Amino acid sequence: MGVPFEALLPFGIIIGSFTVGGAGLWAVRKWDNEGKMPRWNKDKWDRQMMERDLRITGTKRGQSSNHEAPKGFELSNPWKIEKRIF
Amino acid sequence: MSNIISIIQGLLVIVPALISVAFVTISERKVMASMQRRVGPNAVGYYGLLQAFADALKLLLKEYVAPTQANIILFFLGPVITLIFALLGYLVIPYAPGTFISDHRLGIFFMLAVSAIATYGILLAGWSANSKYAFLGSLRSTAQLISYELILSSVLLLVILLTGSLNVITIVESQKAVSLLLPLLPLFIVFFIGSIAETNRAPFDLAEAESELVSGFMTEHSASIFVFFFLAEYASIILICILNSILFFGGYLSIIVFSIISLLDLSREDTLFHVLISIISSSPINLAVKTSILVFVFIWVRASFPRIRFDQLMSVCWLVLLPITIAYVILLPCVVSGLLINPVNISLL
Repeated sequence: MGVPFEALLPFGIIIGSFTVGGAGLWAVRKWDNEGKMPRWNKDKWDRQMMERDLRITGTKRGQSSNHEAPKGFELSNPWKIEKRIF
Repeated sequence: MSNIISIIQGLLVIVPALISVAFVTISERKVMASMQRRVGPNAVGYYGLLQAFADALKLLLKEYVAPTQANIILFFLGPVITLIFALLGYLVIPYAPGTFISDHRLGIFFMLAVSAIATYGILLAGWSANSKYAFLGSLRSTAQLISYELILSSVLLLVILLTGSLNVITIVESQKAVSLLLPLLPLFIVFFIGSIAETNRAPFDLAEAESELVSGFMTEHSASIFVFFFLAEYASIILICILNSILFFGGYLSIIVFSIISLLDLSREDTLFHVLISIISSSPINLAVKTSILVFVFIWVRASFPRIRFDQLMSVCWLVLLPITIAYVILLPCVVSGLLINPVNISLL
């Protein structure tokens, strides 16, 4: 005698709840990222590029084909230097 | 706005986890009942599905009793620490590509660290209760958790070696071609045994051995604070099953669907069917199904094996599982460097 179906019903609910939760999370993450899937395993270079995109287009996921930087771009680019104590 | 989104994301992960905890208890009772030729809970709700909620309501409405000589702050803090750190592990779980709450570059280490801190909750709860049963239970549990954490972290080292990353999504994506179960099958068995011990489950449930220690480290905890321990225990069971499926079964990836795609050469087509297939191939349902199967095996193991003695538990860890793992820790890098195999995720970089 195997495991009856009624013992497997809770597993169905577990699968359902995780699927609904995961799908909801997927939808929220996508909506929060301007309709694109979030980047993952970002390193320093990726973060730097996203910051650059933010300064050029106004959003972290924005892309621009304009070969000229927007006005003010060069001014909003202060060198990140450590603060001197003295 | 970003705060609201963060709260929604947190709820979308925590609520299903807590619902699953409730239904894992029911599934455990129903599956074990069927294995022992009993009916199991069948009175509350459809086929007894609401039994867990009835139990939770009963526990929450009960009066809690704290021992007079107990250290009250630590007595209440212990279960809270255990539950919080059991749930924190869900932060780095990927449900699909890019679907996570937090994308730690050291995600696997984060999970290990969080599960290690949860041990303190057990230790504090057992010590603060001022009861010999609880103290003995917490000592046993702590020794067990620390010993088996060594096994788990050693196996994780090898997974990290093969995938070349500590990031959880990268580990999953590295398994698109073949799941790590195939090259690391003996280690999966070791890891699964370690998982059972790490979650204090039968046959390694010496920490709460009812027949010897009444209820182990939670002997003096009752009513609503007992619920915290209960939730933490089952939340960590689900979490470790998710970790097993991520490390060895490809997490949210469906290996079968990927095989169909490559067999039928669907990758070139851009039809609705192809889009549907690509969604199914990496979706949360795959992770949920794999996790549920592993939870079932957890229950199956509990129903099948008798509890072992404490010295046997320790000798299995230090004299059997650890030498096997260390042998693999030596062997696998030799094979990888001898055959000039690159870590899998070189292509993903």
